[in-house]
Amino acid sequence: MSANRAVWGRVRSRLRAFPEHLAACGPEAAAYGRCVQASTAPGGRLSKDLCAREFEALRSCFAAALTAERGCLGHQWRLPPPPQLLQSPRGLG
Amino acid sequence: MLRPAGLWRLLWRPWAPGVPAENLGRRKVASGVSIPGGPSPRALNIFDRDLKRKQKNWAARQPEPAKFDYLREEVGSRIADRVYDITRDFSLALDLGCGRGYIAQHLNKETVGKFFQTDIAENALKNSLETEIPTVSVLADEEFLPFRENTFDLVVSSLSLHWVNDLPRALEQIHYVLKPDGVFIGAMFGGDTLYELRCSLQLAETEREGGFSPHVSPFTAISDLGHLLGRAGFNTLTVDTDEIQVNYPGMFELMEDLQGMGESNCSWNRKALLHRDTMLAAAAVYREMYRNEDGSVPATYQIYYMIGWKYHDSQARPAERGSATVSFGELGKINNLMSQGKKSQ
Repeated sequence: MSANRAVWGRVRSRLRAFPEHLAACGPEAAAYGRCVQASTAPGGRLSKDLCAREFEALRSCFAAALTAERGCLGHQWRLPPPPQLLQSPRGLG
Repeated sequence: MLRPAGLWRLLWRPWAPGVPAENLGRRKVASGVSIPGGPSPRALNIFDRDLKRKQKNWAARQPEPAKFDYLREEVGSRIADRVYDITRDFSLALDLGCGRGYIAQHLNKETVGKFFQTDIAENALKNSLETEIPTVSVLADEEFLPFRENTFDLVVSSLSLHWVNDLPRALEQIHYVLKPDGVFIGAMFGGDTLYELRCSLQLAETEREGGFSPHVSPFTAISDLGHLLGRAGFNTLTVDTDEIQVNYPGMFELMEDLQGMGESNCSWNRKALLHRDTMLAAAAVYREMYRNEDGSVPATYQIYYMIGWKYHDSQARPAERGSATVSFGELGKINNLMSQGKKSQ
């Protein structure tokens, strides 16, 4: 942290903006949360990408909120990729 | 609170090899006799103490350290209440893992004559809070106390023993430095602490990445705590639990506060990276599953308070078997019995 203070400071300031962007995407976040919560009911089973559709909606809303705030598309949050790339273990960004 | 135990075993995929799944969520109590000064058999090495020292130093050097102190202040004042409850004055006291000295600021010169404050982070000791008791600051680890046997009348510890690797040995060392008829009053985080955060991160990581790794450190169970204190040699134990619920605007603010308190994860088996996707998913899950009516999200801190005494002849002992003079069946007539006893005296 001491050696890369500039990088850490930049990452931190971006992270600090997350809550307000998330607040702008209330319905999508609630839909995703409900989907995950439903899988924890008895008889449900949570597996990878069970709620991928809701999460994609949340991520595009989040990216749109970032774009609106910054005026240019941040390279971290791209618009949703073509479906086959979702299988990559690293994720995106 | 959901705990589908079968589901955990099915989806557990350790990110770091060599961590047995049964060690998570519960400490093993080491069995066998251990010598004061030597490590317990089967002592665990869960936490990176060097990293914890760096984290606490960083947290103490923040521009506004008082912003994150609310939890420690509250628990410190409750421990000071327990010290006042004991109708005795202590000439020499020790505070383990004192941070900025949250207990000393509530006590007065009559109750405690001199206070030794120890912590592993020297920045915390440098910024200690005002107190009227004369204090000596010592840089010491909770597991390696540099004090002689039978030194202190009182040992207090507030919210720092949950980062100790060898808890049985730490408690034995506390017992060692206490004088006979000395008392240890401690507060530790308990099993239900931050369960909302733990569950949200597990669910989000499972859904996003296919497996999860521990992000909240394992806490001692309350039954284990009683056993540990007994094994360390303490008498007349009292363990009680308290739950403090703090409301936050969201998960990110909670995580920032935890880091500001110096409570970031420092286990050896921690995952180095938390993906943005996972964080976003976890925040959404947290809000949906646990939010309050006003939109804030709660975080639970469960605190175990423990009081243990070092043996002394003057302490009350259980009566001998067969020495009873009245039976429990006569409990209804206890008023008569007591007045008869007073008349005969």
